[in-house]
Parts: sequence; structure tokens; C-alpha cells
Amino acid sequence: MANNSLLPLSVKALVIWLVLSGLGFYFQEAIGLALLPCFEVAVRMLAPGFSSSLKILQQNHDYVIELYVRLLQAVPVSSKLAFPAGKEFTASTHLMHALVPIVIEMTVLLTWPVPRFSQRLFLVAAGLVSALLICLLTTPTLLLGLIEINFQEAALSLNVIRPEPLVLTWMVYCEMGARWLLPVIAAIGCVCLQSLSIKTNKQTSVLNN
Amino acid sequence: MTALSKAQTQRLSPAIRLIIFVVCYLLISFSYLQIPDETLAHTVYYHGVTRVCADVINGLFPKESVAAFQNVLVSGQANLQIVRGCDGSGALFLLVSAIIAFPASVCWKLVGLVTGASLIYLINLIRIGGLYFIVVYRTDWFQLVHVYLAPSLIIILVCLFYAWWTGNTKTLAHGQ
Repeated sequence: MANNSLLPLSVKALVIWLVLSGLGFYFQEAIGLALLPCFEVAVRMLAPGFSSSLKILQQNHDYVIELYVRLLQAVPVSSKLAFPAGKEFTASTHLMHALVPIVIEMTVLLTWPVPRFSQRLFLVAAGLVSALLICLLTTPTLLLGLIEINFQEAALSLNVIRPEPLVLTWMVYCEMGARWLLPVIAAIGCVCLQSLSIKTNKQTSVLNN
Repeated sequence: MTALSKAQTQRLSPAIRLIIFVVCYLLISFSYLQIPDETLAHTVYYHGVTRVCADVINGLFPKESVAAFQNVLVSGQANLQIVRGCDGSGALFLLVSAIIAFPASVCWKLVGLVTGASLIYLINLIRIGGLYFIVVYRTDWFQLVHVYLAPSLIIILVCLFYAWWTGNTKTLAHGQ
């Protein structure tokens, strides 16, 4: 990228980030409600041992996504202790936190220089699909990871080392920064996909001629 | 590095570079998770974050009387704890991995790493200082800035820095 195009690109990126952040903030409840059924499916798939439900609650000035689970079977923590079936847990996360990957990915894709409007539309469409996938990979696992922390803490209080479940490992990775890696990778993937589609179109038109 | 291996490095496909980027990120992230919490809180965050932040805030706004205690910024009006992940590490690991994966000379990569790390450190200090003032004067803005605006802005700024760095790599290559 030429240095003289970097300043307008930076201004464009910051304006897009500001607009998307504003839209995300004002429409967070609507976006959250639209995503909720997808999150519920993901939670059920990831944790078949729980009966679960998700809802969006308003707490002070913020919205949170709350996961409520009831154990369908006992969860052993050690040889001496198990959480019995029917035991209930809740975990919650800020709704805005769930929207950050979407803002990052869409800012990159809307800033990425493309010559034609159709290419921009392609990037946005691909970006929305991949952003949904990223949300499914991050928010339900975050909530389930928080539930798993209850079991880990119970084991720790008995000086028992409980093997860390995969969902908790993934959650920790995401919260330590992989949550930012995923939208960046997804944005790169969308740009590569778009370049590939342009090449394929060119080859097709050459063959047709 | 020999001329042949340099040429081979330049020829790596974008897919392989993407894999290098992700693997580097995971390795650095994994190493970071091996650092004990106590080491981070008592040593790294104290010397690198809270003490510096307290000095800067006290220098600019003496009435705040902020003190650093381990990983906590303390004053009469606020108590801000810096925990693992609130240190800009996520953005730093992204940038380091992306710089390692990009075809550039070792010297230019070092320039990118040092400049980028310094930039992220500076941005993070501003973020933590800003969060301190938000806790004190606009508590209801805290979650908005902490979990929503600051993380996305830092990543966008890092992407822009990376665009500048890669752009200048090309300029150097043409100039050589």
C-alpha cells in the first residue's frame, strides 16, 4: 500500500469503526435477539448434558446475555463430590462484548480497498456469514466456559485437579485475545475468497470469448 | 540467510503465510498462558503498567493522588485492577505473528516489532489511564469503553499500523 493512500485509508477506517460501533451500541438488543436462537442451538450442541435457556437482560445501562443451565445428569468433580442432576447454574456476559468481533471484521471489510461496488457487496455478504460463525464460536463457549469454572472451582476447593474441558480451554484462549484473531482471519479469508471469485470470473469470460 | 533461502521465503504462498501467522499466534499465546498470575500481577503489571500509569496521571493531574499497588491503580475515588488480557497482549500477539509471517527483511521485521510493540504499549497505557478517569467520573461508561470500544479500536489501529509497515516494506524492496 502506498504511503500517500494510508492517511485517507486510516480516516476511512476510523469513521467506519465509529459508525459501526454506534450502530452496534444502539441496536445491540435487536442484534442480540436475532443472534439468540443461533446461540441456543450452539449451546445445546456443545453441552448436551445441560438443559439450557438464554435470555437478554438489562442491567443498569447495559444488556447482558444470561445462560441458565440445569444439569440433566450428575457432574462428578472428584471421587467424593458430584453436582447432582437438577442443579442449576447461570452465567452471563455483556452483549456488547459479543458484538466486538463483528465490528472488527466489518470495519476491515468495509475499509479494504476494492474498485467495484459489487466487490464490496461480496465482501459484506461473506463478512456477515463469517461474523455469525465467529459469534457462534465465541459467545456460547464463553458462557459455557463460565459454567465450567464452577466445577473447576469446586474441584480446586477439594484440592482435586479436574481435567480442563475443551470448552473452557477455548474460552480462555478467546478471552486472552483469540477473540480478536478470529475476525481478522475471517476478514482475510473473505478478501481471499473475493480475489478467487474475480480470477474464476476472468477465466470463465476468457474461455467464453 | 542465503540468497536462495531468501527467494524461497519470498515465494511462500499466502495460504502458508496465513498458517504461519496462526501457528505463531497460538505458540505465543500458549507461552503467555504459562506465565504465573503472580509474576504478571506483582512484577510485569506493577513495573510495566500500574506504576507508569500512576506516575503519568499524578504528573498530569496531581489532585488525583493515584498509587500503584501490584496490579491495581488505587486512589481515594477508584480501584482499577489490571488482569491477564488487559495488558494489550492480544493485539501485540496478533501484530508479532503477522510481522513474522510477512515476507520482509529481518531488519525491517525488527523495526516493525519494536515500533509496533511500543505503539501498543502506549495505546494500552492511554486506555488504562482513560479507564481510570471513566471509573472516577463516568462510571456508567465503563463497560461500554472497556468491553466494546477500546478492544475494537486497538485492533483497528494495529491493522492500520500493519498496513503502514507492509507498505514501507514494498517501498524498501523497490528502492534496493
